[in-house]
This record gives sequence, C-alpha cells and structure tokens, in this order.
Amino acid sequence: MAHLEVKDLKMYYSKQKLLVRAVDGVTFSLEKGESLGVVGESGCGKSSLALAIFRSPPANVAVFQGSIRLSGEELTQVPYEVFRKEYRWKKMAMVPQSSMNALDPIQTVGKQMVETILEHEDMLEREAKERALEMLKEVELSETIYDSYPFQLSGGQKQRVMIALALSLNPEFFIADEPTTALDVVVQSKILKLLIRERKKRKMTTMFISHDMGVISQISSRIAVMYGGQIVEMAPSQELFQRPLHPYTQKLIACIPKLGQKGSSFLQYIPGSPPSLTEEFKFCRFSARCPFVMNVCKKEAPVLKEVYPSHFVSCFLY
Amino acid sequence: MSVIMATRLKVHYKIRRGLSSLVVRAVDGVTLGVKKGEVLGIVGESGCGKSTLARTLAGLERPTEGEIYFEDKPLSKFNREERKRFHKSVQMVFQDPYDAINPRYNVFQTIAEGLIVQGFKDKKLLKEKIEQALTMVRLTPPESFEFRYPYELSGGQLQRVAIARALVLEPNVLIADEPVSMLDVSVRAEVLNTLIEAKKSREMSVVFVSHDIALAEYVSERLAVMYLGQIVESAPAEELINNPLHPYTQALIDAVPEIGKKPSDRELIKGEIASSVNIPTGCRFHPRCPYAKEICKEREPELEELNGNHLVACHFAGKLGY
Repeated sequence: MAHLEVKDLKMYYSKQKLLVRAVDGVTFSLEKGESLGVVGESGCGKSSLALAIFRSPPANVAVFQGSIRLSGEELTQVPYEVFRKEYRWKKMAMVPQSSMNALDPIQTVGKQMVETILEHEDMLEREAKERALEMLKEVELSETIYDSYPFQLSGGQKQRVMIALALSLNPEFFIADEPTTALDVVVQSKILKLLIRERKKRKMTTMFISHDMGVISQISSRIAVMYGGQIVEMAPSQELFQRPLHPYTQKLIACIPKLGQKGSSFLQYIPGSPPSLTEEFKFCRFSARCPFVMNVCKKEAPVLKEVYPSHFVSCFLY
Repeated sequence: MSVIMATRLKVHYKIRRGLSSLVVRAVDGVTLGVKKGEVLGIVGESGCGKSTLARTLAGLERPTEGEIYFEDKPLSKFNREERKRFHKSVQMVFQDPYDAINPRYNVFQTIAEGLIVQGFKDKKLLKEKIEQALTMVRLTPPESFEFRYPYELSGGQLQRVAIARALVLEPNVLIADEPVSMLDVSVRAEVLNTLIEAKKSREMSVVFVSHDIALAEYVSERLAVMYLGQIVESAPAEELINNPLHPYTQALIDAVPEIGKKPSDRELIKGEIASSVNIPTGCRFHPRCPYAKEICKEREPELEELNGNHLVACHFAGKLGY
C-alpha cells in the first residue's frame, strides 16, 4: 500500500466572482521513503498542492475535493481539530515557502521550538528543550542559536531552524516548499545536502517543491512537472531528464543555461505566458504555447497516461 | 580602452546603532574597466557589494574613495552638462520591474520620460523612437503595448519595457542588476536574448550583475567574482569557468545545482559570508577557505595577473591542487 495517495485533488480559489483552478485534478501516490519533486513555473499550482495536502488552504478556497490518504487513512475525513493535533507536524510536517519569515520575531528560537513540541507531545518542558537542542545539533547549528532571536540569524540559519522544527516531531511525511529559493548557491547546496541526509536517515516520504529543475534533480527520486494546476508529466528522475516527453518539460529543460557550455547552444524560451486558471479547460492547457500543437489539442483535454513503465505524460503526441 | 572604468573604488555607508555608528564597507577597493561592446558579468553572493558597485557605476551612489572614469574623464569633475550626458549614456535596468517602473505611467510615458528629460521635443519623432524601442525588445506590434499599464503586463514583458526605456536613450553602457532573477525560467532567455541582440546591434557595453554564475557565463565575455566588497578573480568567461583559480570561485561553481550532477561530497567552504561591517583581516576569505594558511590571516592578497588575462587575489593561486 502506498504511503501517500492523492486522488483527483481539486482546490479552487474564488477571486472576484471567478474560480481560480489552482489545483485541478491531481493524482499521484508515493511509496514509503520515496521523494517526489514537484517542479513548475510560478502560478502552476505547486504551492497550492502542498497547502491542500497539509490541509491549510487559504481563506478564499471555494472548492476543495478529492482524496488524500496517508497510510490508508482518509485525511479529508479526519475532524479538523484531530488533524491539527495528531497529524499536522506530528505525522506530516511542512517547511512552507519563505519559511524564514515564518518565525516569530519577538521570541527566541528555543522558545518557539519548545512551544511547538509541547503542543503535540506529552512531555516536560525540560525534555522538550533537550529535544530542541538535539535537533539544532542535527541540523549543524550551535547551541547558542537556542537563545537567539530570528533577526540575529542569517537566511541559511533560519532555514535550518525551520527544518529542525519540522523534523522535531519525527514526521513520516515531509513537504518542503521552495526550501532554498532565497538562499545563495553555496548555502543552498549545504541545505540540500542536509535535506538529503535527513530523508535517508529517517526514511521519510518527502515532497519537494521548486521552480528550479537543477535543485529538484538533486533531491528527488521521482519528478512531477506541473502546468496550469495539473501534473503534465511524471517519471523517475533520471528517466525524465533522459527522455522528457511533454513539450513543456522539454522546453523547460532547454531554458536552463549549463555551466561551461558557453556558445554551444542558444538558450531557449517558451513564448507567451501560462494560462489564466479562471477558465474551464476543455483543451490542452499548454496548447497556446506548444510548438507541436495539433487540432485535437484545441478540442480535447489530454489525460495522464503511462507511456513507458512508470513514465506518465498527458499529451496527444503519445 | 575602457568606456567606463573604476579605480580603487570604495563605497562605505555609515549606519547608526544607538549612540555608536558603524561603517559598512559595501565596495572596498574595486578596479575594473569595461571595453566598448564588451559584456562584463559580475557574480557573487548576496551582500558582496555587487549591486552597490553597479549603482555607483551608474552614478546613483557617490563613491567614498576612488574614481569612476567615463570616456577617460573623471565623473567627479563633470559639470552639469556633462553629467546630463553621462546619465543618458549610462543606463540601468533593475531587478524588479514592478518596483522600478511607475505603476501609474503607461508604457509610452515610461519610455518617453527619459527622452523628455533629455530635451526631446518633437512629438512625432518621440512616438517613432518609442515604437522602435518596443520593436527592438520584441513587444510587437508596438501599438498594442504603448498604452498598457504595468499591471496589464507580465513580469517578462515589463522587464522588456524597462530594457526599452534604457535602450531608447541609445546608451553606450547598460548596467543590468539581476535583470532576470524575478522572472520565471521559461521567459528568462527571452529577456537575455533581447539584451544580447541589442548589445550586438549597437556596440553597447554591458555590465551584467547576477548571483547565478551559469546565467552570467551565458551572457558575458568576461566574468568578475566579488567577495566582501572586492573582486577576487576576473577572467574571460570560459577560462574562469574551466580553470577557476580562487577557492571561492571554485566553490561557487561546485555549488551550482545542475541536472544530472550529484551534489559534490567535497567540503566546499565553511560558514557563510561575513558582514561587511566586520571584514576579516588578511585575506577576506580566509575564515571560510579550506586551504587557509598563516599568511592568509595576516596579509591581504592583491589582485594579480596570472597567465595573461586571468586576474586572481589569492596567495596560493595556481598552487592549489583542486
């Protein structure tokens, strides 16, 4: 049985009487210990997908449906209070986007960590402090950080604190939304190594979200490419880069400059911009920007199908 | 000959902390020049002073020490007329177009402003120039963009408006500070290619500031790596990438997450960039350098030429086996 199973998940926002289809029918499942990378441009629904799974949708959600199962348990049926107390942070943890700003500026790091741990675990404050210190050590921060305020820390240190916080309750499932986006490359590479190490050590099932193909390729065993609120291609990491099938994936890879290959190829771009998600799609979402567009693409919406073993793509070319 | 040149440039800011004041040494002794038609890429981590350097080159910040030469004349000696010409000839494109462009100006007004300030009066010619500039950045047909407001454009389109605004003044030097870092990967190349084409057709010099070394390599002919207010290495782009001599440059290249590249196991460099308030003694990089020796703590290395065109500031440049 899969560890996490998401089936036909939809989350629509209402905005000025319009529906924004941020997550529009996403289905995937993860085995225990697997790590899925979700990649896509801004506005493709990747953060919304994470929020939906974590059951903390923004206030303006109009439609929320589909099924999310963790170890076979239907999460959408769990009463909210129970979910908050027993699932969130405890069974599943998330490092949200720009999480460095998620820390309370007027409390010490230690106090925030202890507070979180005590909210979910039945233990003494002294024990919680021990746990917090242990976690700081695990993410390679010194003990002095415990008594520091967030403004005294650098971006990389704050990100480590957030990771320590998220891991402090031993979650089985871990989501990190753009965990390195605001960081410099050197710090980024260190955070990535930390995440890879923790994932392996704890055998956590993980989901990483990023707009950066390079980052995603390093931390995921499987990759899902999102476009316009849907997964358009999903395959094991190596397979995806060796044989990208969806024109969007192919283009996205060609958009990235490679070091040391100056002049060998002209950098590509995808003309146009992503579709507005306010309309109902009765056609392929990528058709307006696709170089291989056919008649059928404008009349029907393609569905995700398995073209090669565990390589799924939603495109009429295949 | 360099079109624009900085010598021993220092830009220090005073900040107050209660009763005492601190000095931030954002740019701390930079000498560089950009030749006609050349693209110089400046890379470094946040806080290394690259944006301050860019702004100072564009004449938006006053240097604390040192001088900027434009066409061999020192900027500080410019009179009013010369200064006006300088601001026409050296244009800047900023990181976030939504911040850099007045939201209440439409595209036409945005691009026209500079021309009008420079004393351009002929209305018909003005329209022609603006349409030319829009065509150049491939916002075509220009008529359909002229009267749109920033909120009606995507980030990539608006950044191209910002480039058009700079190009319409026919500058000799374009300074672009992280021009694509706010944009989605899929549209970055469109903006960059626009920039490269404009440069080619006009023999313009470009200073391209970026934290992304792969991107900087793609657009630049020469690269300079900055660390804590100084240039630590500078060389032709390919040479710098293939044969980095400074341990910091090496680490920057190692840290680039590339598709198919496994994260390197090598201990890159320690810690994080120091604050420019409290710059380490000796070589600024020594607290993070895996190869640091005694001398590095004591003596500051000079930027010196090694095999021809390659400048590096490291006591052990070329002697480290990495």
